[in-house]
Amino acid sequence: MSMEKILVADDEEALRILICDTLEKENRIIDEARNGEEACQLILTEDYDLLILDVMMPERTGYELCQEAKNMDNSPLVLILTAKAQSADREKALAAGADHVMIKPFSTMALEEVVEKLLESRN
Amino acid sequence: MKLPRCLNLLIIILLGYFLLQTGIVVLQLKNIYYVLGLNILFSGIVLALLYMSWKKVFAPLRELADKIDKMKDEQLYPVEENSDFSYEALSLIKAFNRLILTIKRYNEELKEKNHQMEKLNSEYAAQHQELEENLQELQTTKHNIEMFAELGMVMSGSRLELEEIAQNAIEFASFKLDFPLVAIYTQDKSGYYILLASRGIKGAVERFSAGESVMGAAVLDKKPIYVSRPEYGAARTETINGEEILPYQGYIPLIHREECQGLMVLASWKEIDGNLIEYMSRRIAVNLYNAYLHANLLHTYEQLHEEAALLEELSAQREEENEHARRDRNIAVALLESVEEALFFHLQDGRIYVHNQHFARMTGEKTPDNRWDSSLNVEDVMKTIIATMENPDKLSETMQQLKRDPDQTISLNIVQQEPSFASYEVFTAPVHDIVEGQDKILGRIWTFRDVSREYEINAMKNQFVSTVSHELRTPLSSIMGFTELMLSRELDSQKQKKYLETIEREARRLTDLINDFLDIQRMESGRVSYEISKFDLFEICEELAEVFQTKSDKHQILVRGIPPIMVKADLSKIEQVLNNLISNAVKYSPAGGQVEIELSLENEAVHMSIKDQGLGIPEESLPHIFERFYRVDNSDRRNIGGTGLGLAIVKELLDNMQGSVWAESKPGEGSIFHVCLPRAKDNEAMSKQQMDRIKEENKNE
Repeated sequence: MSMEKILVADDEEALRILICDTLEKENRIIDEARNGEEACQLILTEDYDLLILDVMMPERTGYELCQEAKNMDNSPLVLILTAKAQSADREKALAAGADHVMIKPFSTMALEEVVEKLLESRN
Repeated sequence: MKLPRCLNLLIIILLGYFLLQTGIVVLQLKNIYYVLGLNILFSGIVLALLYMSWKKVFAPLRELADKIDKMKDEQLYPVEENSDFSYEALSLIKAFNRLILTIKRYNEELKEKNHQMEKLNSEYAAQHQELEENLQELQTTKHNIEMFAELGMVMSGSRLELEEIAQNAIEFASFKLDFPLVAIYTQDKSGYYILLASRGIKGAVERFSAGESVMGAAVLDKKPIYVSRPEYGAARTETINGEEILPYQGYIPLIHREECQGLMVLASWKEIDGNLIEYMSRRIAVNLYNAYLHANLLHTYEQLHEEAALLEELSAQREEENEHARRDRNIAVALLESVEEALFFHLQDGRIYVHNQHFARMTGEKTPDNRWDSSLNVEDVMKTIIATMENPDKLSETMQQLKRDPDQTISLNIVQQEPSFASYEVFTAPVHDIVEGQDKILGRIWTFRDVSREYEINAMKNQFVSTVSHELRTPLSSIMGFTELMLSRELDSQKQKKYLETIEREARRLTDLINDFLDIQRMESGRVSYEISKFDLFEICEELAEVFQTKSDKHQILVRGIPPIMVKADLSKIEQVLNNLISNAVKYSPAGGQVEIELSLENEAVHMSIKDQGLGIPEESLPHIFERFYRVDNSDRRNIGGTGLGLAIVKELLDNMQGSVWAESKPGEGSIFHVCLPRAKDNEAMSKQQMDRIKEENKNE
């Protein structure tokens, strides 16, 4: 069984911890990025199955990262977490190529479910 | 005849005798003889003389006389044939004959002379006659000339009025020229001749036409008619209607410039002097003509005057109307310019009749000096506008729609291309003639309301809501997430504590955020009231520094300056400002260091600077740090909590107290925040203690 690789990019430390703790599992590696630039470096160098991206991040927004990732060969799945609740934001995220969009505040259980489903679909 | 001669002789003799006697007496001859002798001598001489004279003188004379008596008159006595005459007689005869001849000759001469004299006399008489006539003529001429002159004076003395001219002429004719009856007629506008004035005529004809009666004949022929009826004599004759008929009458047309100006009627006992009268008629005619001209001129002048007055009135009226029109137009232009919208009005044919400067600015058209009736056309202008639009189709469609149905009222929104991105709310409607009637369409009005600012405000509001939402959701996500994890999972106590700490921190952040958010909302809506008082800023700074100092050992909080530093501001708001700034200084110098608060007095202001030795602010962020929700994002300050509203609140508060705030910074070296506040004069100053005391006193009361 291969390892699942997930990247969590959020400028809020508390949220990163929350997401990591929620999704912590065997056979799963979770990397963290504190801003857009860090995330970008990791996306380019590492081979991720799933990117969990915050939208409002310094240097690079989640949308930009999403687009970039989707342009790569064997592109990872992208879950966008946004605190922006308007439907326009959701559309923007989907337009950027995101596979799923979740609105903050989110349920950790719903997050778990969504991540499981997405990873299953990839397998 | 003989007797007297004898008597003469006798007298001579007696005289001789007397002389003799006287001689005798004188000589005193007393001798009678002498006396006698002398007397006899004397007598003898006398006798001798008598005889001698008889013989030699008287006898031949008598003879001659007899003979001559028998002779025919003026004939010489034939001396040769009558030789019977005595010698004396003959010599006498001869003497007489010679005398006769001489006399005859003289007589002839006299006769001749007499004849000549008579001839001369008759010539002289003729000349005299001629002179007399000439003189007469001269006198007449002189009289006429005098009359002419006088008439001239009278005429030129008359005013140029028909009645006065006629009156003066009549008086002249009557008094100077001795016409008992005079009348003057003139032609009126209708062509009739009407009586101007008359004298001496009872019931004179008031009016006649050319050709009618003798008067009409005179004016028709333009030639004077003289009527002479010497049979009337010098006596006046009156007709039944009281009109006098005089033997000599004149009907003289008054001709000037070959036009009949009127008629003068005269009557006299004497024969009329045509010269004078006709001269007079010409004078009158000239005057009448001039009077007519004058009257015409006067009339024309009056008419002109009236017209001028009318024109003046009209022009004044026009001027007033123009003034009104100008004012109305000015008001209309002012109204057009005072609205916020860019607008123009075009006529049915598409010509843009008027537009305002907003419109000119929007399209880049130059506003013409004459705003009315410009050369712009709605189609061209619309093309220009459409070309600059982000969404050109909307306006093109509207234009097409209007072509199909020109009576539509349409509203739409358009957005200009970059760089302006100005948004306009376009409204267009047909303009009906309210005065003339709704059916008549004058044209169409277009207004372009620039709603960019509203859009911007709206966008800002959305942005704000979105940001607030985002900012609230972030801590909420942590709180909810960790709570859920704690509830759903079995966690060790260490992790539980960590989660709870995070939850508490995020909850606190949420509270701060909500407080700040409410603060800034209150400030924005103007619900924050400022109670400006005078106090010592130095004192406040020292108090707050003390509070912050107790919270942190790593920092040294210093207050510098020479107290008192009196300011005019709201005390509680200044406390909030200082709180935010000092807390920032502490917060963003996580490694610790000095926080220096320096106070100084300037002319009218108080200057305060808060200097830290912290992280500093990146140059690109400096202009934004006072914006709401702006937070400098970098990894150094990742763990420093904040709402992004603190500095925005500081700025808002200071702005409302006539203060100001700005910052300078060097990343890694620290930041300095400068604050200016209005200075309070020392004599107005009141220390905080004093104020507290007053407050206490008020409370106690």
